[in-house]
Amino acid sequence: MRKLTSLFAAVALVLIANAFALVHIARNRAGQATQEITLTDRELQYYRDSDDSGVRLQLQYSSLSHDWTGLTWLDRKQVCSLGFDCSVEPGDPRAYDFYLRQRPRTAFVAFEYDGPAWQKAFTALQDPNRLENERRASRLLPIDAAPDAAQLRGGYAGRTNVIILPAIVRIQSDPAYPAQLNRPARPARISAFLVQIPSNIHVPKPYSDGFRAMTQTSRSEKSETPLYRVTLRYGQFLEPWVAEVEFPH
Amino acid sequence: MNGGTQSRSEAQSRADRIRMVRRELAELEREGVLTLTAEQRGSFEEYADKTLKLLAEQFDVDTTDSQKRVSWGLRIASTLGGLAMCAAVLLFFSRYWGYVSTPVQVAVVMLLPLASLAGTEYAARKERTLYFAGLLALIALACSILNLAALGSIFNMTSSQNALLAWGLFALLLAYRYGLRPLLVMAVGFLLSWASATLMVRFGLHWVNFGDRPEHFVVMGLLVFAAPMVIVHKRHTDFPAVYRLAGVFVFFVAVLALAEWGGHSYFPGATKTIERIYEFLGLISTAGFIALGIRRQWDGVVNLSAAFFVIFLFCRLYHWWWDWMPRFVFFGVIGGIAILLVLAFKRMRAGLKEGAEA
Repeated sequence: MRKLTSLFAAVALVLIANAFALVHIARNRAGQATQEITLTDRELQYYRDSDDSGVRLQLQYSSLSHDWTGLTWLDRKQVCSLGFDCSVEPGDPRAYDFYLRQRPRTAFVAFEYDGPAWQKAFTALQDPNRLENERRASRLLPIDAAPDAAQLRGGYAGRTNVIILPAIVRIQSDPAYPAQLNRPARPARISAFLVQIPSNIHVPKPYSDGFRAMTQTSRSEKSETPLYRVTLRYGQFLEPWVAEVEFPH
Repeated sequence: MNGGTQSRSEAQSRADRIRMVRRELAELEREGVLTLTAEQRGSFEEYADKTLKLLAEQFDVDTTDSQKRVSWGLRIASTLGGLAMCAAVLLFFSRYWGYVSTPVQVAVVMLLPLASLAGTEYAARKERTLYFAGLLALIALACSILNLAALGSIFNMTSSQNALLAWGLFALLLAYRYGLRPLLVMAVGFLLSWASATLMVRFGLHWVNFGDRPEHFVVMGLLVFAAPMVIVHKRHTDFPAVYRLAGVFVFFVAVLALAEWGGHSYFPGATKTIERIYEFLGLISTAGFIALGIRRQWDGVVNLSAAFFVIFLFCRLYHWWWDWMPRFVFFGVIGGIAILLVLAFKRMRAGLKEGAEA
């Protein structure tokens, strides 16, 4: 008969891996939540899947952070602070290849919910189609980034509509644009883009029952009432959980 | 009687050799080259029958050609069946997990890999060919992946590369316990990915982009290739070939990636220059591995290296000629070079044959 050492090792591995995960979960939720925010169906979208009975919400942020008109949410100094090499001027002919070769980096990003930054970007829109789309889209806008979460949180202490999330950021250099009919001139610049944020949020029972019972999963065009409001709490490791769900209808 | 045979693959090789000797002796008798006396013939047949019977009893090897063909069918069926069962388990879980509470979800995902591990052990003790054990081991690995992935999803955990380490070690333990080569390949894949991902994290980059720096895999591929020189396999004598093939494959794919996308290299300098350097490294290294494989009689390494030699050569010729040469001329030249390669390999083969005869 084979020795049982490797079998016990495999069992132990499963148990240890699970233990690590459960301890991590417990530590994240220990003590008081580090941040709390209530978002609506505009920011947390629900897609029903017939093959998946679990309920997951997709956290969406506003596309207004990537407006080509020149609104950038990180300046060059902030980009460099994230660990990117910014030694080449954006107007340099080598700039495009130089910045393209840099791999995306991890960072912590501050998102403001329905605040002055989003209001300013929204009112600056001139395209009526885009305006209409943004009226129904997310109001969560990235406004700042730093390599350290505590440092970033310190800058927004007391702001209940700002949450700090881990993210993946990449950069590229944009060439200068001359002024045109409806566009102002724009100098060459370094732009920062969010490649990824933790966007899948699991909704546990009993809250998930409410989502499964919904007859529609997207708001009708004219409606101003959200389909649902979800309160998220974030723990020590900035991992969220659903604290409360309200269905106004 | 089993001559120190340690593994099923060794036993199968021995059984195949006995069958071939039997066939060749019959052929030699038919051509009048060699005729055994009745006593010698009887002695050989008795030895062959006894040995084959013992090998079949101990290792359940194929002792006839028909059995060998059926075994291949069994292997393919058990692999496809294993993959289908994995998909079924994952989809079943996905279909119904939302209807149960969080504690039940956690308990189910934790018990699944343990239950399938128990099933694998039971199957391995009941059946020596390990077809069912191999299938269940694959399911156990899928359940282990589901376990950590589901926990991460339920509790919205930030993804980490450490899950790759857990899966790799689990696959490695299953591979060594039951002598399963597919599990060993998966283990190597997971562990290499984890190593590259960990390096990315050290540099402040996201672990998911672990494939963005192929140079990690250039070095790790060579380490995996060299592993059998350090790790002695007394029990699983077919595993060194897996390490060599996996290592050389990873090395070649990484070099090919850098030859096509030099921008992913750590080295500063013009992208085109880096690509040309890796292209020539690919050509030289494939030739080197072919020579090494011929010397050490590593057929898999020779064949794989030859295939990548052709790929690297094609890539180089494509970059030289595709833009300006008419297409029919390009492919004509490729065909001509292929013929020259065939002639060169034939000459090499003849030279090796003369060397062996001398």
